[in-house]
Amino acid sequence: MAESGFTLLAMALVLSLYASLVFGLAGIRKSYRFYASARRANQLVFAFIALASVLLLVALLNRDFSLEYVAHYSNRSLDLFYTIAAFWAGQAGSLLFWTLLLAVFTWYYARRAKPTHLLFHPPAQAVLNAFLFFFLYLLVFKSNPFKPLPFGVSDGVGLNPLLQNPAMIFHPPTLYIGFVAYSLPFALAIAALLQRSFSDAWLASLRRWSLFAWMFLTIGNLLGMQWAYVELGWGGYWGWDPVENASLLPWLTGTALLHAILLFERRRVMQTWMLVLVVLTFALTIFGTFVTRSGLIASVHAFGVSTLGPAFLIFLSLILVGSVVLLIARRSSLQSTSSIETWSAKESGFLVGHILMLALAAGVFIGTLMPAISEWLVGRQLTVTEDYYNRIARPLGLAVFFLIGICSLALWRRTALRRFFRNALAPMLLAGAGALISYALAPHGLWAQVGVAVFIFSFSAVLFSLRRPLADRRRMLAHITHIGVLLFFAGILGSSTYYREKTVAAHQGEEIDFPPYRLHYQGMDTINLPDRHIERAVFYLYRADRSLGMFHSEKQRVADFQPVTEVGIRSTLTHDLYLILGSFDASTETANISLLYNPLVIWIWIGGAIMVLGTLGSFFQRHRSGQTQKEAI
Amino acid sequence: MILLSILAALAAAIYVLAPLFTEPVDLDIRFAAERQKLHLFTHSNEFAAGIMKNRKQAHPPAQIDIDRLLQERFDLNLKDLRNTFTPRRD
Repeated sequence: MAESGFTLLAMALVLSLYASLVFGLAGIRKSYRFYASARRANQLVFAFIALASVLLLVALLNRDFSLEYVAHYSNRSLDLFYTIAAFWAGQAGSLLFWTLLLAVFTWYYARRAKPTHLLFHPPAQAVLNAFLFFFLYLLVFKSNPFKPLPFGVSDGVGLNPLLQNPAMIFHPPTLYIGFVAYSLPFALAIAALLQRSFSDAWLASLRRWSLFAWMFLTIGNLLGMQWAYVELGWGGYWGWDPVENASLLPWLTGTALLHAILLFERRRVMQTWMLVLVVLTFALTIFGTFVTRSGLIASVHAFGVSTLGPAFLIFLSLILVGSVVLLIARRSSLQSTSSIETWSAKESGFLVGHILMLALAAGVFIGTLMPAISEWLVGRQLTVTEDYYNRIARPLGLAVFFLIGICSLALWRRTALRRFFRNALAPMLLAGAGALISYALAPHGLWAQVGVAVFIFSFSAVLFSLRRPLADRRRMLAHITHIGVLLFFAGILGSSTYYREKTVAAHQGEEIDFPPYRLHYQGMDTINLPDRHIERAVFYLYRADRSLGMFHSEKQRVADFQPVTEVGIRSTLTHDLYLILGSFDASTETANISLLYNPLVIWIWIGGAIMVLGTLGSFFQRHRSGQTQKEAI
Repeated sequence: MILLSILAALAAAIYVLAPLFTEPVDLDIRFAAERQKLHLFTHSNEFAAGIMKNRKQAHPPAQIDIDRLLQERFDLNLKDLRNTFTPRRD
């Protein structure tokens, strides 16, 4: 198994180098022979990587502990689904999974090539195969998933219990799909720059792949938030952890990119800016991988210290330097045929939105790298607190959400101000009234009221836009996506501003009042399973004298791992009740618990789902210039 | 295992290198031809609109004639042709 897997990866490595070089030659010499040969090499790269992946999966399922990776990330008591998830739980396996996804996308792109794509297809494939070569190089020389274990073991270590959550089965794959799929827009951008050709077919492909990548990045981030909320047991869903930030950064620039593509489609403006965003978004996906895999910055999500850091840094530098050189060399071909006419046009709103999102990304980027930067500058690691991120994200985020409302009321080219204010009057009045009412009911400082006003304004403005008959289905889907974004915002606003918390040392039989709930502590259950020991604090939950049944939180102890807290959550449309078991003192039979009242959390997930569905709808909509959907690959 | 690996590598090399020797000479210019087609297609919106008009007005003979004409001229798959020839909507 070890030799077969390694041989397959080594052969794929050689073939990917060949495919990259020969695709490049095919592009330069316009030679179909080279093109056909490179395509075959690419097919084999895909086949060999797929086969190697199947071998690793079989080894995991068969508990083949002769492989170091299998012995480290699985054991005999692991469920089938978590055994499959172990494929991407470790450094080497996740690297193989990443390479597999890249091979699938590259193969699919080659397979779907049409005559209208042949101009930029060979250079794009050359870039993608070069990426495959890089990842295969890491797998063969730095992080081999088929490395044999030098000694025999009867059972493996197993999967970290923190990772044993349904969200973790889907969170890494979806996030990886998003990350890897951004290779396609990047390769398309490089190919178009090399060929000096920016056709409608090219733009349709760029849009489609960017939407696809963004959608999966959104799903991945949402599942990660869900996992953090349910599994990490601190009551929140976003902790500004470096690895969380690393997945937020390409999401922010990717969002700006989608709007830049729309802007170029509609108005043929800011072509260079659009290409810069493509490069930046892809570079940030590699930066995210670098942060996760280099061990540069400590994080709960990171894979730990490894030797991959320098390789990723060199790769990232090559991407950035190469792209900048190419953009400068092709600047004469990048003259936009049109320009933004007035500040009152919708285009101006988009531009401001881009600046805000990039400013937010820059702030998050600096904060994430602060330990490394400070160590380099002052010789010791300094970490920024959550407050730093909140100070940046709050004003910039609110401005972006406000712009959603403004842009949904503004028109392309020029907005008649009188008409704009007439349309904006109702949302503005509603926003003012909403802010006053929320202040009267629950005064929570300036930011809370501004947040409420922004939400009501933008939400009603988008609904107002939907009121008009929309012949353009793509526009309607964009509005639906924005409704999702705003509901997501409402969830964040509610849960981060209006939450309540109570910490209690509960004795058996004690009743805890936490309006609108009452909790009656029943005592501690102890459960012994073959692979873990569980201590569970059991409560009866009441609301207005109505019994809501049992409610519990537990501590799970698994050998070789830190104890894990399983929280109790009761979700409703208005709030979540969240119970955390901190510790248990057996001598006094006291359970130290925390209770949280998190308003509107469920709207984060509902809003996220609407966002994804809206994007999915847009993905299947045709390109604006009239190219059919099949034209885009 | 080593023998199997060598055989697999040999088979892969033959499969990959074969087009370099088996493709006819004239295929080298296919890219140039595709480029020409692309240029012609993207610069003939009126022609494209004409095809669509004929299709919408349900004149099958005219459609077949035009399709055949285009197919003969450009030697292109009809499905691809239809994809390329969708009129602008905006």
